[in-house]
Amino acid sequence: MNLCLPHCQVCARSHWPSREICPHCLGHEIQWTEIESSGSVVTATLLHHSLEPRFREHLPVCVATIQLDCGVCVLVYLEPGDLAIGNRVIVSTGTGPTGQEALVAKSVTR
Amino acid sequence: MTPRGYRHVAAAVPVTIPYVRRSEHGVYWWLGRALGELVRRSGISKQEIDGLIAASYTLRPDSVVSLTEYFGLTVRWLEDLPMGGASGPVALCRAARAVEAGDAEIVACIAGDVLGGAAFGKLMDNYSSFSRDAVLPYGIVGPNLPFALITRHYMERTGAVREDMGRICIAQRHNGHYFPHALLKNPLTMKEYLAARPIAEPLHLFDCVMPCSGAEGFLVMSEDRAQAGGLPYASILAGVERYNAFPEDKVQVSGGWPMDRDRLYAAAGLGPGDMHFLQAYDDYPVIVMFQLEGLGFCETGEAPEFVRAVDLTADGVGLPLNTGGGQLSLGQAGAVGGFVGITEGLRQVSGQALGLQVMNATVGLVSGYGTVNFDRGLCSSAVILARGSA
Ligand SMILES: [Zn+2]
Repeated sequence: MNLCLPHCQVCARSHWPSREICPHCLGHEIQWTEIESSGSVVTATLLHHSLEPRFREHLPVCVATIQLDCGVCVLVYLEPGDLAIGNRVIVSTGTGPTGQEALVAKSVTR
Repeated sequence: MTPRGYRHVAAAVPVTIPYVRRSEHGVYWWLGRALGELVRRSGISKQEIDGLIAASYTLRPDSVVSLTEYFGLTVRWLEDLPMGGASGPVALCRAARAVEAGDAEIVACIAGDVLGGAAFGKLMDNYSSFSRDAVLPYGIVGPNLPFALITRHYMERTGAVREDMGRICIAQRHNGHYFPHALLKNPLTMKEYLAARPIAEPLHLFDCVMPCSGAEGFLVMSEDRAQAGGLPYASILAGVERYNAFPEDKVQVSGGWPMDRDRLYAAAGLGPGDMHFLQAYDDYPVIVMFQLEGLGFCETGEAPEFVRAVDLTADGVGLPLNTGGGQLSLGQAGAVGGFVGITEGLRQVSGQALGLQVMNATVGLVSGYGTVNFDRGLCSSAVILARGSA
């Protein structure tokens, strides 16, 4: 399991969401680069409601903000039992409840 | 650079077109109703209006340019506001500077948005490229998701509990009970607040605004013109805007106000203790707490204590907050929510409240916040209004 993020070839920093211009130095050479996929739960929510009917049968689901160890924050799906703030997780590209591509995080203790 | 207010400029004729949940009419109808009311109530003809500034999400892909032809307006100053919930104070500041500089004489400031059929879902789909790519895959919930994350983080950091958020909602509903256009008028008890169904924990039903359709508007002109027309008005003592403040914060913990409040109060020659009311942007109660802290009504992290200690009702003895009930009572008609505080603030300082009138309100603060692009509101704004003196 690995994780790729947009990475600036000029200042060597990653960012999220994806951009064609680096928000740190305005560099215009961005390459998706494999990064260390560990991080911590910063905040999380248990969703009970969705605007999208086909999503509703999967509720409730837990969505969290994870700060990766490189400093970048991403939104991920998380198991509801893992939503404690500070919980250590590994983030990877996976699928959400309805099968769409999404970032998912798993607790390192599991 | 010395901060500067707006000399000899008046804001007048606050207009609220009564909201409905779902509209049979299009967005032009709502914007046009606001414009028509401005003309009718001011006695100023459409031909005299030479500036127009508007905020609307559902007007897209049309723009404010389209409004001129639709409404038969010929203007020499025009501005389109994409700032959502921050748009009211921004509209007022921009229009006031234009009038002060002589770039326009009468500026109509309007906001309108509609909710009909799938309009809200469509709005969310089209909201921003970041939202589409990095937020929408996570439950398709609209703004409840980022604000649930922000609220949980705030509660953990400050020790705020649900009852603290509830105090804001209950006080505003008390105010909204007396406001004729509020869609949610029934008094709210703490028991009802706490028992509401969860939406995106820790947010429950009464923490979330109800999407609806509506329009608001006001006019900006010279003090001389307002006086000549016999229009009650407010002076604009100071105003600030800020975009993308504190981008390094991993979760939003304030708007941009901490960067700008010293300038704001210095320009007005006043402090937070001089304000007779606060019209704060209230898409969620945590954002009201950001404003209480960021605008200096209490220290950072102390808003929960503040709302426990201070009466927030419009007829109380503390700090009257969102005296018309705010969006939590009125409903949120898209970008119109950014104008709600301005129209209510103008009514309060000019003694024209439609519901509860704050006793002897002569000066007050209106702040705006909005436009979640990814995980936080990027725009914040604030103005200080004072009763105009003839
Ligand atoms: Zn860079």
